[in-house]
Amino acid sequence: MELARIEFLLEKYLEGETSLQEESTLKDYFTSEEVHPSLEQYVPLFSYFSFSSEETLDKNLQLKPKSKKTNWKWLSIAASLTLIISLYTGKTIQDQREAKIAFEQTQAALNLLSGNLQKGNQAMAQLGNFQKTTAVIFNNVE
Amino acid sequence: MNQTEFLNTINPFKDKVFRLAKRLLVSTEEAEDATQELYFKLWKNKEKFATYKNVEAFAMTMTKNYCLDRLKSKQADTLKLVHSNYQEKGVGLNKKIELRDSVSQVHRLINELPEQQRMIIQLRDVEQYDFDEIAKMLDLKPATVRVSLSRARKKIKEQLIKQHNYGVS
Repeated sequence: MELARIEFLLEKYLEGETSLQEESTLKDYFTSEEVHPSLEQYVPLFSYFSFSSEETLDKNLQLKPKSKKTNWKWLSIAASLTLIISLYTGKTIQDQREAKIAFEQTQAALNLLSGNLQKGNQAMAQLGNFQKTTAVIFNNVE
Repeated sequence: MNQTEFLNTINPFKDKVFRLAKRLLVSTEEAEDATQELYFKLWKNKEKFATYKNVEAFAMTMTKNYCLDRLKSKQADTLKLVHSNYQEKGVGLNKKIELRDSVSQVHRLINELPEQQRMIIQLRDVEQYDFDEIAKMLDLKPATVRVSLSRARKKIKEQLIKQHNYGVS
């Protein structure tokens, strides 16, 4: 490529007047092996541009942020389940305990009753003896 | 729009997004984070894709806005560091090492330009968008883009000639 044309394009380039096509002509020229010594200082610039355009993103990207909302949702579900289960088991144990107390109380009351009935029986037995004796006495009198 | 369609729309320009982010944020990790952030935002808005005339230009504008926001909050942080004078020496040393390589010298020269010129150089000289597209992405007039580009190119050229003359003499 003739030097005059490159110099003309460079001038246009610095004014921001070059088209994209002219700019790629410049890029091709300066990344080639035959750069005129008077223009050497531009070589790093244009090689930097083509080198920069080749850099790529290496990281894998996600589409959705790791949501904290779902965590909260599951956490609250777990918490309410635990609460319900512990309430239920607590209630069952409490019921059993109450039933046992009621049973013991009833048993005590029945024991007391049967004890008293026993006493009544014994008294009745004595009364029976008394009646026999009175009968014997009355029979003898007649 | 399903996942495959979405990826088919985004993938052709995801590297351009990454490179623009890197041009502004400089660090690769931060540019990756910015690209990831853009993916989230685009995925959330995927139903609106049909109403966008140009998804690519829209994505570039979003990237630009996100990165400039990041820079603003970063600037607040680095100001504190400058006060304590810790960073200065380390950066100076790194820069001296970079100077050895003329291509990384160009990298440094471009990254020292004001943000707007940096973006325009990136979009034009690296990604080869036309002026109308760049103007749309950056919300500027095409004429402004041209002027800004010319300024940036001239500044880089002056620095390169200075550097070249040092090398020769």
